[in-house]
Amino acid sequence: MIAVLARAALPTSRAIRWTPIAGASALLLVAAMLTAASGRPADLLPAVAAAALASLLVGSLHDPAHDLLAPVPVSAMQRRALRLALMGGAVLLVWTALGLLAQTSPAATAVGSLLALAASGVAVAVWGPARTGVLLGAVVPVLWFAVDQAVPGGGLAADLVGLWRTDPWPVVAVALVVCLMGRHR
Amino acid sequence: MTTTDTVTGALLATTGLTKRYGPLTAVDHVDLSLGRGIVGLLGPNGAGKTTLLRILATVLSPDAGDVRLLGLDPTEPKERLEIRRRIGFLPQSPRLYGGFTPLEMVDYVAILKEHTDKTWRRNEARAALEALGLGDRMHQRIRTLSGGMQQRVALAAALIGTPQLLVLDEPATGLDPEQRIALRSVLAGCADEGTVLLSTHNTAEVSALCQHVLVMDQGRICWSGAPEDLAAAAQGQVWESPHDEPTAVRSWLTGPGNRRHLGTPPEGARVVTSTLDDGYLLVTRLAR
Amino acid sequence: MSAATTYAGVREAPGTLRVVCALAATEVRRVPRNLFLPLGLAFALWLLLGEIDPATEDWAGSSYEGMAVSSVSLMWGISVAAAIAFQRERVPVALGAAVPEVVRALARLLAMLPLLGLVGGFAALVAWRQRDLGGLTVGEEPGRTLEALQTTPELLQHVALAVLAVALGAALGRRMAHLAAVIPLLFLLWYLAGAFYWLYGHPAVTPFSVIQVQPVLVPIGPADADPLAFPDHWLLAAPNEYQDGWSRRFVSTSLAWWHNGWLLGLAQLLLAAALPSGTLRRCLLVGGVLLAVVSAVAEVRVIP
Ligand SMILES: Nc1ncnc2c1ncn2[C@@H]1O[C@H](COP(=O)(O)OP(=O)(O)OP(=O)(O)O)[C@@H](O)[C@H]1O
Ligand SMILES: [Mg+2]
Repeated sequence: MIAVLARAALPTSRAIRWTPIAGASALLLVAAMLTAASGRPADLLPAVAAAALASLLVGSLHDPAHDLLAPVPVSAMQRRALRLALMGGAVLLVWTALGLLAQTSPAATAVGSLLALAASGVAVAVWGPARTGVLLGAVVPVLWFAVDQAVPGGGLAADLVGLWRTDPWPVVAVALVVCLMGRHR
Repeated sequence: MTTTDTVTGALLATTGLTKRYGPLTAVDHVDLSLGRGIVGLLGPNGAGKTTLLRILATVLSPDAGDVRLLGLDPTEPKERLEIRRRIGFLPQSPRLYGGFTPLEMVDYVAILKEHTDKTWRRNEARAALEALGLGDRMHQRIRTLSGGMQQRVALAAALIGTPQLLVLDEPATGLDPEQRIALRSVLAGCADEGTVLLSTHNTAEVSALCQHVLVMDQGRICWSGAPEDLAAAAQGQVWESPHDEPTAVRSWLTGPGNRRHLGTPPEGARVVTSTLDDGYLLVTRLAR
Repeated sequence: MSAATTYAGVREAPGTLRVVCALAATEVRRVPRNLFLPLGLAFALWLLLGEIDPATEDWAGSSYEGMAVSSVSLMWGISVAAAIAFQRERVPVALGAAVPEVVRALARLLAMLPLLGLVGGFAALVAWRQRDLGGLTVGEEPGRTLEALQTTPELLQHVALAVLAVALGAALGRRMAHLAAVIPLLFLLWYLAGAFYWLYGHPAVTPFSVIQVQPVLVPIGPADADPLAFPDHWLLAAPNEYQDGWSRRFVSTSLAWWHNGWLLGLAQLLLAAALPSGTLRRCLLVGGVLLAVVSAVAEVRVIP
């Protein structure tokens, strides 16, 4: 199976649309350089970046040829994993570059929050309806971030919506379990 | 080598197959047993053909009933994988990667069908595309191809790897008459190896190509048999006249000043030889 | 035979305006079917009426600045609504029909007008809120006011931004293949413009920014300069960890007016990207470039 996926990697990478992630990365890197030059702390920047990159990562699961490929031996989940691995590599590169460029605390650029948002999005994409699942999944990270910003601090609701920042690894674990349960979808 | 169901000898067998979408039963207790050869699936819009074919292509799981494909059970992950290595599927209105060339697209599908030998893949992809008349378009981007050509690319992708079970949802849509004829020989070649199940709205396609025909309506298989028998089902119940007939079950215009009628012919009517169209219309009418 | 005679069964063609209105009416019903719009509005209202409070502000002027960017989440929602509407144009529906693509696009734009009305209402709410609070603080002693109110062009920036949001959503929705990429990109663009507005506050950058937040900080002297020597109508910013010397907090009505011109110019360019090629598109391109360039040059000249 690994051999098959390795062979499929190159054509899959060509089937993925790279323009959105390239555009977003350029914007983020310029913003990181500007914040660094301004000398002000900008811990919000990695948070915004995590939400946007996670969203785009989930969005890369959109496959126009899904119907044609549905009954091939390489399962939908394996094809998803391949896309995520290819796109995830690029996203992690951008994330590392951001961490180096922006003047933020190390906690802000820890990779956990990015993974928590992305894994939750993937879980929704896997379990969502066939045609709209990827869109729903891609919306999850940005929406979660926005709701987290909006809910006033202090209460249980704020703690819950802040989980992706405060306890990212349990979120990743839960999302992965949900994905695994949907491995035949 | 072809594996068949040990009990019935069928390559494709279902019992009580049912699929529901909310209150609507799209596939309703379908029992099938198909061996080698080309089988045509006819039925009006919304009859459940696509739903049935998607189940038989292991893409959709049924709500009830049993399916055995090539003697294997698609609900078992291991067996489903084995089935998927040996089937080809063409969805209705397939979508492709516009930025790929036909050769790249078919090669990609071949990889996903676990064909790892690059030279073999390229040769097979070339052969499939050439058989479908795309030899001179192999290196052009798919988004610059015509609709019928794109349909043929998807067909080539379904055909790659000589599948033992070929499930095709309206394969001839958008093909010109010459390409339709070419498709017939390609499919006839595939049927030597296994089963080809295709849905269509074109009865001429069925009479030219299929050894067996299934008529589906409202989720049920309402008729099954040889194409000649479907035509014969309406024998003695078709007549022509220049005007409307109130006793006819159905009437339609066949040319200037000529109407064809289906039903019990009145005294002295000019009864004509029935065709597959007549048989199909009668069978779907009676099923309601 | 009279000119009004028509063949039996052949309708007389209705005017383009009526077609646009009929199409816009069907579009308008779809606009609210989008979660981002109510969410964006709710967040903007919560910021404006709850979170932004001069009594608890971090530094003198943070409420004044916050009110200028308070509508950014609403802009995201508006962009998403426009993107969804224009994404439908990618599906080739009734290509041979009498109504050409440009008329369909105009109808989609017309359907966005109620959203501009909504933002107009929001801007009025901002104006009311400032008066209700008895004015806002801007500047530090000795150049300070406690009764600052945003001027009309500053308030109208919310509406200009909404026009830009519609144009941005339309361009991305029309030109990008899938909403799953458009929505995060819009999120990123608006958050970078709104949450990091201080990045674009430098006098050399602010004419080209998306959301212009006044006052603009103009350096006027070293840290040991005597602040009392500056003209007493100047609002001042004392040296702090982010700036070495004294700065003037520069507020200008004409700067704000010109910035709205710059935004409308940008919006025209983006709209041109959303429309099919033709006369209208060329006009928008030429008009957009002219308006954007003239406005930006004027802004540069206004800033001292
Ligand atoms: N995803 C779905 N959700 C709900 N209902 C569906 C879905 N897919 C199909 N149906 C319904 O199931 C019935 C059968 O649909 P199907 O697509 O199988 O018909 P068909 O025989 O292929 O028709 P056609 O000849 O038009 O392709 C229809 O009534 C259709 O509305
Ligand atoms: Mg169908």
